[in-house]
Amino acid sequence: MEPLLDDDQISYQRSLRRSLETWWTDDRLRADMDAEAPDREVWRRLASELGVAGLDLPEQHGGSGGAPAEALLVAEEMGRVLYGGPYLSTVVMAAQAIVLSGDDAVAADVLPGIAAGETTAALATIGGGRDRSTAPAPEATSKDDGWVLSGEARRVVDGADADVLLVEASTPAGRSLFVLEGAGVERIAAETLDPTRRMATIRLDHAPARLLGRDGQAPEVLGALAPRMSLALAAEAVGGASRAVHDTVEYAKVRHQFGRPIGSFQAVKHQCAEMQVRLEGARAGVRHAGTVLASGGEDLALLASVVKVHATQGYFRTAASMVHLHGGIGFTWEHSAHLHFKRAKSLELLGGTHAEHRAAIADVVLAGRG
Amino acid sequence: MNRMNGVAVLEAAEEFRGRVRSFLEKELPDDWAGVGALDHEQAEAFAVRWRHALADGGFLATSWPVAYGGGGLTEREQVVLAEEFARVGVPTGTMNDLFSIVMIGNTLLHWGTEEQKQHFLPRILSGEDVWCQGYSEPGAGSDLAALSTRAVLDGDEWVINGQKIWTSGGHLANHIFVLVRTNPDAPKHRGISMLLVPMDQEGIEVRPIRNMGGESDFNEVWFTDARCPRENVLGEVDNGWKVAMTLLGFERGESAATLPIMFRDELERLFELARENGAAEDPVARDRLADVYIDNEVMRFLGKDSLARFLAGHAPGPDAAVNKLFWSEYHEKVTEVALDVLDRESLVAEGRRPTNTIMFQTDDVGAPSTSASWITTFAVSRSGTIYAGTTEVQKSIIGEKLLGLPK
Repeated sequence: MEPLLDDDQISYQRSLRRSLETWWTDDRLRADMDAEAPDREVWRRLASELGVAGLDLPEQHGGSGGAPAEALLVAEEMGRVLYGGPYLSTVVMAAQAIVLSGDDAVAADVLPGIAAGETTAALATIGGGRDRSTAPAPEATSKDDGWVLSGEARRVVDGADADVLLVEASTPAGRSLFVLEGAGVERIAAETLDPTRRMATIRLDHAPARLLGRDGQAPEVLGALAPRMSLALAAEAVGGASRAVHDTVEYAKVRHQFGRPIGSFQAVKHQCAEMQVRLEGARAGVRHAGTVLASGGEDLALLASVVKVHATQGYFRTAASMVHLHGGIGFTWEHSAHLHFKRAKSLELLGGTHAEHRAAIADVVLAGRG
Repeated sequence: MNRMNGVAVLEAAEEFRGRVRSFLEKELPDDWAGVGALDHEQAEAFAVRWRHALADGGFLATSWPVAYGGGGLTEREQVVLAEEFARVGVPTGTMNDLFSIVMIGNTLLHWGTEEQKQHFLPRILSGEDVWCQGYSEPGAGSDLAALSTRAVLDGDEWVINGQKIWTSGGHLANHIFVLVRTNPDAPKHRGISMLLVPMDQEGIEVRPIRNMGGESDFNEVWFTDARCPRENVLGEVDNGWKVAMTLLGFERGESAATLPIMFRDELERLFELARENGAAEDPVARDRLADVYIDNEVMRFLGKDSLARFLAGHAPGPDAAVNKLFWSEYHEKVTEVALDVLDRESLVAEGRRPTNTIMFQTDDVGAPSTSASWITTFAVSRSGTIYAGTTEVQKSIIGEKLLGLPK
């Protein structure tokens, strides 16, 4: 029972679930984790057959326009099967950055390919939290016929494989976003905490680039992008958590010790109940956020921070319980518990930490505007 | 599955909201700040006047059919009314009306004979009969079906012996609906009956119990050869467990709508306190306040979700357990934070205590932000994870009924 979804959304959710369960099986996921190059085939089908890439993109650029609540369902169903393909990097981050920049020329060049599932893209931003690296962040200098960028961007989601790279860099006007032309770019794939999601270091050495939107516009674009990204991450966490609760509960029903299913012991049963409570709160939050994204009425940034922290924190605790309640088998590489555990922690850290979000929440509610 | 979309249901009934608002505007003074802003005596006087106003306006017993003197409102309208009332901080009745109107009134409508309805319902509306609930016993708390208060027939009367406990509002009531064992030989859930018992008699004694907040809202009720007429069984003899369970489902929609509003009002008082005393500038306090704000929001989301289920016509289910678990733990946490925000000021109770017209859940809208108020609420909040099904009982319900884990 999903009281906060309408009938069309429920049927779209069913199609997504059926397709992802068929196309993104555990075996397929494992193969993708070990593959040199990431999957493009399943992504293409998701985009072309289910329209996942164009849901929230403008119609004149190949999207179906303005379905942000449905886009959250996509993230959720992907989270459920631990799908780590280009959705986050390409659609949630890069495509939205292009839309928000208002740069119609870049939008016309790039978005139709993204909506069709043919083009992937990544967005490299500056800073965000503590880092011991001394490598200089990207800086852009203006040349007569354009811009060149030098510096290093780290932890760029899908940065090694994306067809289009957007990079935030400092300019004399502040911070701006650029589309790299291709030359002067070195991409180094990283080993990630979450083995189902790829990241890379991008080294730029006088890399030619085209300005996206206006010089100095990056803070505005990324500021508007942040709540949407937070909500996508929260939705992914809800999907992952629902799978983690389901798998753990099923295991607790069949695993016998002391002559009884372990799920009959209160110590186990109550942990499962706690997982479910966290999940329901997080799911209700994401559903509510979907309606706010679609029709407004609330401070979106505040709401997104609340939902992001609760959903990703809840997913992490649930995934930790999942590892624990599976006992020895939950500690193996072969079992999917560790994938949830690592995905959940990585969702906590992407898009702003809990501490950062709580500080942002406090700024608003303690100012008396809550 | 009901195909009605919960969101669409939530958005309807706006013209009724207008009716409720103009009623509130007409009945309340311009400077009305919520019933919590009144002191204890003022609040009691207000409750009497307010109940009359509700009855005159057709807003008393809103869920009852008009034929029995109720408001005959749809579920949607009941929710709108509860919301609007919570927003301005007025109750939907007196404290005992939770038992009189919501619990036993609705249960009478469901299980009662026509004679029982005709006899009891008008007396509830007029205020002549005031009810309390005789469920828990010293030996039957979480395991309610282990109750041992017994009733035997003596001619045309039941004779009742035993003891009930934690009877909220028992000192204000003149009737008690009481679960008794009528068949000691049957399996424990099958030998129970629900009796409707007048309290103004020799065989019933009410003794107050003082709770850890210092209040005496609940009681022990002793039955020593207490009597009630034979026909005062609600539902059939030995069918009382079923009747008892029906009764526990009646409160759901209203509290899903009102709790988030009242808890938000309380949290805004805490934020205001933090701004006043400088805690709002302290990074650790800010982090904790943001943390409770997140939980408070989650309660709002859960409330919206279960309201949508309720309005789409779904029977009360384990989602009530999820909500109960969440708000009771939230309230313990937020009141712990409140005392740390108060800092050493919370060592001494100063100023006015809360009026507490609604039992245990949260302070009334408009409650004072004094140290006496926060200290009382801090203590009283601990009841939330105990009463109406402990945290452990709720978790077992969720595990077994929602997740299908074995007993």
